[in-house]
Amino acid sequence: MENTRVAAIDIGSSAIRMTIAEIINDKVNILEELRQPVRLGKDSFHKGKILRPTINEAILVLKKYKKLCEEYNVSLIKTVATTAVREATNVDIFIDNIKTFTDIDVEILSTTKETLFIHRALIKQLEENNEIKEKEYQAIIEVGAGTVEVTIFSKECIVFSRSLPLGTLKMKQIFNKYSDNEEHFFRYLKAIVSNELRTLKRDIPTFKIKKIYGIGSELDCISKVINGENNQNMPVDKKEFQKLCDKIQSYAEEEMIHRLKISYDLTETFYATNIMFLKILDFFKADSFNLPKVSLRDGIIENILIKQNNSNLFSQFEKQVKINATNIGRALNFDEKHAKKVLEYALIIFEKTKEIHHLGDIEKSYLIVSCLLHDVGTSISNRSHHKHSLYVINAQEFLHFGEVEKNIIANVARYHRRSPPKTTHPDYMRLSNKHKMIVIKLASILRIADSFDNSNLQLVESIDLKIEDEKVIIICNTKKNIYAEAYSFKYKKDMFEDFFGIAITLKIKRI
Amino acid sequence: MSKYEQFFNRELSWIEFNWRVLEEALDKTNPILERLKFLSIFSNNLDEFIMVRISALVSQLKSGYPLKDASGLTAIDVLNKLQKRISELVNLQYECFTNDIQKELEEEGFYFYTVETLPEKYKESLKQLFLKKYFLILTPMAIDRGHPFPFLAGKTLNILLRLEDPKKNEPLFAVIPYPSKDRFIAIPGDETNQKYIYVGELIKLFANYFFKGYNILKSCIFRITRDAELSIDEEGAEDLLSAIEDQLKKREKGSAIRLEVEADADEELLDFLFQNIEYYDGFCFKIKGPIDLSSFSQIVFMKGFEKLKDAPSAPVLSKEFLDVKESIFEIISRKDRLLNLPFESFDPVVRFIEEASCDPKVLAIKQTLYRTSGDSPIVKALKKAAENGKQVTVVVELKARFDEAQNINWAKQLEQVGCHVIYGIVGLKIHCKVALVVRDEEDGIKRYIHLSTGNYNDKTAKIYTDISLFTAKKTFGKDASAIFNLLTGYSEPPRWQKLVSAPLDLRNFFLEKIEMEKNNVKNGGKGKIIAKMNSLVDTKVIEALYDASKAGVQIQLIIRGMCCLKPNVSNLSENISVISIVDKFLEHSRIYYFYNGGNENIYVASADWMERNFDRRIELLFPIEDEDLKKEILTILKISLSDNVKARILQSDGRYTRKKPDSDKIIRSQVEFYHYLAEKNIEKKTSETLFIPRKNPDEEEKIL
Repeated sequence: MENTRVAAIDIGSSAIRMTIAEIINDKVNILEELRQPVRLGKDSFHKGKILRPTINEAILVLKKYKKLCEEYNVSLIKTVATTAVREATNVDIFIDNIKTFTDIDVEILSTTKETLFIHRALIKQLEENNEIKEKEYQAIIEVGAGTVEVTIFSKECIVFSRSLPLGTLKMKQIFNKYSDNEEHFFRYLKAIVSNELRTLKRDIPTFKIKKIYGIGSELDCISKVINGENNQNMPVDKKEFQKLCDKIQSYAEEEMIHRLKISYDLTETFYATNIMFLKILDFFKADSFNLPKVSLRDGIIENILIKQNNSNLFSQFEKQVKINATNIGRALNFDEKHAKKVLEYALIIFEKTKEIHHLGDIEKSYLIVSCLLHDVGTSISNRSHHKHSLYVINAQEFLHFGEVEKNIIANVARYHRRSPPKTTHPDYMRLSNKHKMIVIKLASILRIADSFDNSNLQLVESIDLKIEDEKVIIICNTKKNIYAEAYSFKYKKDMFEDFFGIAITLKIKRI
Repeated sequence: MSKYEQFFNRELSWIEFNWRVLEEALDKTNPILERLKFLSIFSNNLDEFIMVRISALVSQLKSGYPLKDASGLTAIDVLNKLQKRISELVNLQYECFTNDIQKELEEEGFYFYTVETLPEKYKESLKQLFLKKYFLILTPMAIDRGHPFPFLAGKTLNILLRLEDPKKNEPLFAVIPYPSKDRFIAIPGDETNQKYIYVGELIKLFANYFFKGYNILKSCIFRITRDAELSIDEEGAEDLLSAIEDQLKKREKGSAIRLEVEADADEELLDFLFQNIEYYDGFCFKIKGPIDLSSFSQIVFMKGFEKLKDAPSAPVLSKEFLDVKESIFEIISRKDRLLNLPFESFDPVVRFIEEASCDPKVLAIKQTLYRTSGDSPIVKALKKAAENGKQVTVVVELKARFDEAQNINWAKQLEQVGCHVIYGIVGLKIHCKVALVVRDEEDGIKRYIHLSTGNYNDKTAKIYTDISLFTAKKTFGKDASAIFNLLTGYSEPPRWQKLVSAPLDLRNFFLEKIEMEKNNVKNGGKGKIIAKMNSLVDTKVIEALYDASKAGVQIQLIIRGMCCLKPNVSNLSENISVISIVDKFLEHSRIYYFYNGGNENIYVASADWMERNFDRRIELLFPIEDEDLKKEILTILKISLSDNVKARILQSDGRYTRKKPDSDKIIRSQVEFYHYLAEKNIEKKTSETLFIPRKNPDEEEKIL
């Protein structure tokens, strides 16, 4: 493969950063790393929007970056923006201005997608250094301006991810409020951390987390200060960290800059943020933590590389999606056995009717999630639970799906029973025509799959599907009587038959 | 010992440096035109010193704060001492000129005529010349009640005339300013090309043509030196280029500091000048000879007369660069390369940029240009590169002192052909010298870097001693890219891999290194520092050196110019020795050696140990890592340290004394380098002449 050069630009809360890299024989070689301060967060978090001078500043920086990309004949520039831009009320104007003046397309990243990129970069580093084993859990604590992302992952995938409202700017605010009574600040932090991470504790005991990785500007210098210049990659001892925090408390701004060699703009948030980080470490009962040198941009470049190679990406993605949805389902007390059974049937139908529906991997991932979560509305009320499922799903955060994709999934779940889509359904009508068709196709598959476990007792052992004479024949293998399932099937197959114009018949096979 | 007693005053130390320059003029073992050259350099140095440093002291005095410097002196103390020393030195200079050099030149057939000495037979042809040329271009200005004393630009020469109107009985004066360029007018028809009349004398001779109907009673030549420090409000300056252009126009109008008048000027003329020119008290010098000897550089650099000059030594082109068919990038790829200028040829540097300009694999060239020469081949190559579609980024430092006008010129030319030109950084002078070539090669992007202690100026590269390094190491490449991102405002400073930069952390870097040597000694090991630079002024570094010396670190310093450190003082600096080398090439390289417990560190930098380098400039320091190159640099230091001809030893009282050559071997380091290079089996390149004309031979860094 020819050498390609790519650039990843990250428009963050306090700076715009760029990494230019070349990819040679699947190896990434970093050519340039740039950082230019542009205080988008200051505008966005305090004024609600990004002010004109700041927009202009960002445009100028991006123009320069683009020029540097031209110097290297960069073939692909991937630009993302995070919290500060995402939360600004004039986000659309910002993006449009950038497109107009620099011809750069900016993608707004959700916090979960950001986490995904970081995870990708970190996993790569860990795998290269052989630092992660099968069946072992590790955690990333990513401290941003707006939120702190806590992510638990194993070698295979991310198993848990949560945003805590503990971003550095927030910490500064709260800390200033409690400035005369630090004890209150500590207690507040303890409460909020354990509250937010409560659900995590149920699924994964904290002792199972082998390593913790901290990421964030405020944490960057810690390892250098505690371990020294030459041991920056060593884990940081929590006790040492605690001691350092105690010391920093009494530092004046200039002292911080001089002793810790941090930039001026970090001095305000530095102490409060590190204390918060300490509390999270307490929660995990960790004795030490690591500060890896990975960035969002590394993840983006890694992602470009993976996409280029078109490697066995989907199977890992599929696994990840499944785990993520299962975790959400568990948090909502879903009927896991039922959900998994429905998923099993739905996937068989999906795979065997590919020549009918012509859907691909990404739609398959929507189906997976909607199968797992189609009944989560029952936690609100059994009556009209499909409608509850719609908004409950829309209220969740998914690692891999943005707002539109989430709404597709929610609609598929919503149409697993009762009325088919109508023009009076607003959430359905929000979708584009293409997405509406996807919803109908997937919902019709989900309906059939759901009917095979109508009793929620997993009476059907397995199913098989064949297409003969322009008919779909589904064979249910069962040891029991499945009246309820058969009855349900009669109604639930309508949507499929109507949409595709193909008849489906059921054959029950006693085994 | 009080703190004040631990330091020399920097201006007084500088004046001793200029004394060492003058000493070279007095040294009868030097050929006559070389001696004249040193007289000229002495004058030129002094002019700039007055324009920049003395003017700064005068402003400080005027501001009214009796601020003390590190040596405990206030501005007035320093000015008084300077006045005394300058008078002494100028007297010595003119004694040397009239009694010695002028006479010897006459023996060689050189004549510089004045009104008094001009033979009658030349007068007619000179009159014709005067009427055809000078009469037309000069502007005499009468001074009377209606016409006040005019503003006279700094450093121009002027004639003051006392006129008499036969009809009236009122004293009348007039001034004729004239340019100091082309100071010497060859006597028409003289074939030897060795007989001249000074322009001023010619004007004096025929001034009556300007004032028909008046009698000229007396006349004298005088010159004013003015404050020339550029002060630009950069924060407010939107466009640095036009701000500097404006400021240049204003420079001529700085306040007067020094007045020089012919020694035989009449009392009435003197009184008139004293009344009308507000020079700084005590800084009127009566000159026994032609004012402004710096213009004699014109004579020194005339073609021919080789027997009156030093034997030229051609720079050698080291073997590695001999094969012109091989790509220079391959040569650099194989191994880091070092150039020891001016003993080695500057050609590889020019070739580096020239090859890059037309190499199809090159994507980008980036370079700093601080002072560059007229029609410099490097500027030409950069233009060609831009025309060939390369991305060319040039960081031009407009604020290079006395070169601003020249720099603006390059900047504009480069911009016109499509180079991306950056005009420096607000508040900081860009002093680092770095060039970067980015190539798109089969196995990916590769960067080639050139780093140096000297400017990209092919002219000064032949008269300044500098060290420069070519490398293709990845770590250097990353840092070089980062430094350009910093200079062009693309990015904040990164974490450096190899380079150290000012104003970020260069001082701390050195302080840590010195501290490290100190600790090594305290832990029972050996400690040694060798440093070669132009000036040592920074108080913090000096104090650290004192501490290290007290602990037992052996410190050898080679400092050409100012040195505020007092060596050989017991309980303070008994382990520190300082030498200064002043010879035909201007010592300009900065090399820093630290013993580091046996694992020797060698660094080369664009910076001296001075506040201005650490705090107000962008400077770079780079390590020499290649073992062979390390050895080479060590040899260079060794040769410099062993110099016993042109090296002087700084005494604890501030005097510089000559080394007494050991009976058996005489070592003149600047000659020794040629022997060393020859031994290194390097073939000589013969086509080039060593001496080429230049305006200000000793231009850089001798003022501050």
